[in-house]
Amino acid sequence: MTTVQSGSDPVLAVDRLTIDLAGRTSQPGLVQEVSFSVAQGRSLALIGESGCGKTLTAMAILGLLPPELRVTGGEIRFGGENLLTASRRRLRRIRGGPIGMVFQDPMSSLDPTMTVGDQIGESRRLHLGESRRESRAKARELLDRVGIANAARRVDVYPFEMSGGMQQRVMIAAAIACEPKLVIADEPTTALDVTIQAEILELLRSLQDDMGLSVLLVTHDLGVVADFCDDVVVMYAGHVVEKTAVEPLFAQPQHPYTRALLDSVPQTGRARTMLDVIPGRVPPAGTFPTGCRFQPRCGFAEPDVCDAPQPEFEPVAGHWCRCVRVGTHALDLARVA
Amino acid sequence: MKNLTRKSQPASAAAPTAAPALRATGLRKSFPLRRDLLNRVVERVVAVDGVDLQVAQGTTLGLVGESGSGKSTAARLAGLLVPADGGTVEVDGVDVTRARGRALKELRAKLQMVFQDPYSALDPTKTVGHAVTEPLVVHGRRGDLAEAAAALLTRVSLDPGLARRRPEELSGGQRQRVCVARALALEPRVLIADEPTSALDLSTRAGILNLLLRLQQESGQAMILVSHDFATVQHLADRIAVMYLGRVVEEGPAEQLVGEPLHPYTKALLSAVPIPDPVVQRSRRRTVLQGDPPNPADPPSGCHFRTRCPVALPECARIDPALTAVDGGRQVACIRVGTTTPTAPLPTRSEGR
Repeated sequence: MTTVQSGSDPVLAVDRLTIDLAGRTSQPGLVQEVSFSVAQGRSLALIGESGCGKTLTAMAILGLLPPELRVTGGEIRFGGENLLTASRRRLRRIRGGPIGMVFQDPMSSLDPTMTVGDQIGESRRLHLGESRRESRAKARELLDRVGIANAARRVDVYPFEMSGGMQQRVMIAAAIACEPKLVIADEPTTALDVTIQAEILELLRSLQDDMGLSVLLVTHDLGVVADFCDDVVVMYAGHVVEKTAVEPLFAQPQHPYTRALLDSVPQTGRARTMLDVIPGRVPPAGTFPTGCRFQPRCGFAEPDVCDAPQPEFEPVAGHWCRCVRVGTHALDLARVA
Repeated sequence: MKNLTRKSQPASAAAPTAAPALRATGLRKSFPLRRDLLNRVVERVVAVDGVDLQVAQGTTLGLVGESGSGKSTAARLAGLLVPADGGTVEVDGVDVTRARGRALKELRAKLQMVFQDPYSALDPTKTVGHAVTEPLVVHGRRGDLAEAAAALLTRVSLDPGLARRRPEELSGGQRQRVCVARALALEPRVLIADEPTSALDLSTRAGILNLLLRLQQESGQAMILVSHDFATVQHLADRIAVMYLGRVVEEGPAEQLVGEPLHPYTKALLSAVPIPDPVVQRSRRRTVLQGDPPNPADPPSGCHFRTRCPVALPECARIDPALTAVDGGRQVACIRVGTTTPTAPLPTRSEGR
């Protein structure tokens, strides 16, 4: 099957998503007007430090926000349907059906009392109404598909009998069991060794090629982004600060936060030299500054410019950047050493 | 069991000049896995199987490998945190393997650890000031503790005012700095850091890497850095030792080892580390390893890596390669290195082991 390029209707479109603490709308959003879309067959990375709202955004798409948080604005369109107005019953049909999920820690996501075959088959029984026998045969096929040797025997194994890499393959098999259009993967390889990580990414890539699957990947590993993703959304303190395709993001980062994040990664050939560090830390929720939320930590911030309310930003040649100084051409990071 | 009777490897071939800050030779450690009704051990797992480590004053040895490779256990053995089943540990040329009681306590001042999770490494009921000065109290060092706490916190670039706070009020990066300050309190000769940056964000990680570099430049302590995060190891280490199933398979100067890995396992491991540059990363070819590492309680005969090795020969099942010196101060444990350069043909998928 061919991979569809961008330009077609997006599989997932998040539009001005805002998430607040329930009953405390006076405080600036934990996630504020976040917009991005994932095209068919493509993979999009959500990156940023802890506390930037990446996981909250992913959870909101799945309708799995904790009860103390509320979506207070925006739309999440999936195949023409607004997931924010969908009933809980409808969301249950979508989760594990057309949207698959993979989380960081397979051991706490898999049910320790069920064999892996039952768990993979469960979604086929629930979503497609298959019989036990049918779903079991399918589970075996899926285990084989995700590269687990001896699938016929492994369907009867419990999660604790498998290694972490194997468990994550089982998670992926369960996520793709109902032939989803989109898989949301939150740090799927963070707990794994690099060799296993490379195999898991390779597996996701081959599933994309075979099934035209779209992937939303939440990660903080820039190596994984460079390896696997087509598009990148950088989040800082609940705002999207930059979004573009993966090559320009690494080659010409425009937002000072993206640039600082890239600069904090050790470079080959510069071992044992001091790295650039972003001073301070991500402000805790509810204490976000006005204007640009990165401005207190930014080396290029300008008083009365960066702390003023921000205008609308438009993409330039497909590259979107939330920085007033970049938007007015006062700052061009490509010219800053 | 066959792996218990394996001959120990020849000592490091690198010519020793001045005594290294820490030298461990032939370290071995096994853990009981299963006991019978009479509580006799019937199955053991050999976690560290004849490992030599050496780190010179003011330098850093990076210890890498997958989970289960024994890298953390090896570091703990070298730090005398866990008693070894065999092998010797020398600090500044003095054999300290049999140190017990008061002598061991004095040695602890020379060998200090920093652990992965700064959340569980600090007592939540004690203040930061208490945490960093406790080693001084334990070792009976006299002086003004409040002053010492302020000095230690300043040394790790923390506000001395944090001394009165408790760990819960600190960020992950600040807590890890507190752990480093505590490890430095007794001016150790060797700092053993086990995954010191794994629980941290990118920018916080950069701050801890800078701190460890600066402290080493200031005080000249040796460091053993255990990590599965290759970026961290590559950035800090002068030399790198690669472990697989309890053994060191390759050791050498960091730049050369990363630039031109010789052991097939090192090659595969490095090729799996994604480079944060899409243009470079997408032009690389990865050496694929089939399957997970074998069960450490029942490792393969001969070379432990042969079941996953893309270039294994039939004789790899018989010959147990010792770590052997090659050019450029490198040591490699592979019968194919030094004879013919192992090339990496496309590996075939094999069913289990």
